[in-house]
Amino acid sequence: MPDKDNRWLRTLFLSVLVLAGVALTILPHWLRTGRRSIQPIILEAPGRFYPHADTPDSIDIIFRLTSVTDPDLNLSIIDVGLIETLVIDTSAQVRVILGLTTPYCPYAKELARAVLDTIVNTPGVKNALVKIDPNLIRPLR
Amino acid sequence: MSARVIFQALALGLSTGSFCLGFCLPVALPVLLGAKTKGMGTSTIRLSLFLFGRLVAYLLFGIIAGSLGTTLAHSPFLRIRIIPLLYILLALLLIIYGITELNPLARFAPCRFIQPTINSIWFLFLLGFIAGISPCPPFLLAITRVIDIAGILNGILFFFIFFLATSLYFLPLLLAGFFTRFALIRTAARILAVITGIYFLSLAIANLLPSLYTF
Repeated sequence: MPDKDNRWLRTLFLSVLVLAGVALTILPHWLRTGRRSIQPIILEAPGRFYPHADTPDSIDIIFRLTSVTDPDLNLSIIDVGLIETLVIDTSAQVRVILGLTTPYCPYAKELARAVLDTIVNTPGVKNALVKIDPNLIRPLR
Repeated sequence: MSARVIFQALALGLSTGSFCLGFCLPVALPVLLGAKTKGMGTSTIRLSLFLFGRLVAYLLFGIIAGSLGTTLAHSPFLRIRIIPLLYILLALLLIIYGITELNPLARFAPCRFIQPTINSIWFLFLLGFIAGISPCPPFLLAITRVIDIAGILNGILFFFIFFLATSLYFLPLLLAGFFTRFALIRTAARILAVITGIYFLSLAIANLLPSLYTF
């Protein structure tokens, strides 16, 4: 019987050690990097109604996007070169893909929201979709 | 320019070192605790080899980022495809490391065949190297800075100082040598290696899946 008790105690102690190891290693790792895995930010909204508005052109949207600034750099996102793709289809749906100046940028969502607001307020836009791809890094040179 | 590079690398390394430790600890700790060592001396050698692996990886990236700039170091291909593959490689190495010494698997011929390789101290160098080239946020920040300052020598210098600064946080791992004398801790470390391997595998899959989604 003492051997059996010993085995249980040993297993219990081993389990505690493994759990302590998980708490010491995997948990901090998950909290710091695992949760922040490479996930794109995608925002979508319908455009505001402007009667008799024509389908917008890309020049107009780019011109409007010059007013959106990177909060950290205080420079226009056009000047920084964050716009990766701008697509306007025949049904006036606008899709934009943005990059970031640095990985894990804390302003990513704020930036996406500002871009979306600017696009949906452009006359003629039926729908807008903004995607921030955290894999597109555009370091400021 | 060099003094500025040294200061910036030191500041970045010291301020984000705990982050680096958080990233490398799941890899380093199970492996450092999993094998019986003869005191602190062996433990120091084992930790040094792990750190040396990281250093080689950092210097390699310093050269690449300093010379090629954004074209390679920040390519979406690297971050979307290569990082999950590195995680899978790390996961497999950790799982193999864990199960080769755990009973009853340790008695099987394939396990006994790879035991000498897995228990070799160069295995730590390999793990350190893979952990070093698996970019974590501070590492990516370092790359971003190196791209800004440009130049191979600046890149090497920056990453070398960054490595030294972040390595200070690894010093408590020297105490692993004291604990490896207990068989129960070694067994727990091997089980932890398997759990960590499964964790990295799940992270790799979680990172790979969203990248399959196209805009």
